[in-house]
Amino acid sequence: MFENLVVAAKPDIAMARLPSGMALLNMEKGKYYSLNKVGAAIWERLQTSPASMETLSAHVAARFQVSEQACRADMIAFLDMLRDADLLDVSPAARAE
Amino acid sequence: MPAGAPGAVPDHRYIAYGLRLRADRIFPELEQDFSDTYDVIIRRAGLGRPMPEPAQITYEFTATQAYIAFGTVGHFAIHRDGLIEYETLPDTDSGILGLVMLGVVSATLLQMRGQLALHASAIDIAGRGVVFMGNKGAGKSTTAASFIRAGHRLLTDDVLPIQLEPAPRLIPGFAQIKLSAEAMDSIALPGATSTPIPDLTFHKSLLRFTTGFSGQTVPAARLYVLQAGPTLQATPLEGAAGLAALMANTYMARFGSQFFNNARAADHMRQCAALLASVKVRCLEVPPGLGRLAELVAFVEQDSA
Repeated sequence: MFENLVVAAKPDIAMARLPSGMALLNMEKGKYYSLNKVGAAIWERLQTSPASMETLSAHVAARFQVSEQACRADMIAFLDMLRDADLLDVSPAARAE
Repeated sequence: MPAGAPGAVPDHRYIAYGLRLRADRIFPELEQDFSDTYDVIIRRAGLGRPMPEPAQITYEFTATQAYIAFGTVGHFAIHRDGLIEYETLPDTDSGILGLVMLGVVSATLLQMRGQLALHASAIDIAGRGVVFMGNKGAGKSTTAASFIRAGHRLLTDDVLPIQLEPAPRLIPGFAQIKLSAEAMDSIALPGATSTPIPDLTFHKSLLRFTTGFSGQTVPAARLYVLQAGPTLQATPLEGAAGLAALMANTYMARFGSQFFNNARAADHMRQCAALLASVKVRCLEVPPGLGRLAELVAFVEQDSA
């Protein structure tokens, strides 16, 4: 899952920083979500430009001193959750990066 | 001075919620203002729309204006730049008009002017602003009254505007609380006068008092969500739980989707998050009954320090 794909933050998602991480609001659906600090770091990265799962894993590995390998399974689960919540745009890797 | 308010300036001068009001009717609950400038004009006017039907409740919002109608009271046009126009039914009780004007209508104006309006009571404890939120009947007013009884000063009961920049400060409302007859009997406040609220659905009286009110803004120190429970204790509401508790207790929450369009919902979430970044939220479990209020006061004095 998410191999050869790039993901991006959907445009109509509002964000607010919290001491514990971040809150997101899907404005179209009127639904709120909360992210912990790792989730917040991923979202911040996604807001700058679309990224592949590998790019995101490397980003988290560098920031939180874990191996990229250890990140991967959690990253897939996290991106899956974001996609289910309709917070992500997913497109084929060839189009970006 | 606000723009968009042509005509003579009404001459009843009051101050509430940090706003200098000029009204065309008497608001006995408000403190008088003696300054020459003003922020908001309140006046009777035809609103160019039919009076609401008896069962009607309407809320409409744009960036600069709001329209609120209650079939049993009348309707209100609220202009962000400082004008509130109202038209009431001929037999509207002035106490009820005061409740609506200084409650939901003022909260709407404050929110439109960029403050965060909470549905809460608040107390000044030695210069620290302590906020009590909670569902209807959770004991916001009763709790506030017990702090006044203990020598602290009321900031507001019902609408609490919070100025967020540069650091959150609580802005005082006026010297009145809504109390049940039962609470009023057990919490004697010196120099207070009470007026029953004519609408029986409230089951409360309005208690006005002369001392025990603070007209000063104070830094926000602690936010409590009141909840009935067996043990007097405070537990932290952190992260998303704190945000959810705060958002549920804002005044705008009652308007639901009529208020929360895209941009306003995002701003509102950011305001709540900004408040959470510097002030802790706790769930305050309060045992039932009025007998233990002194204990509650002592607990909060210590917990909020």
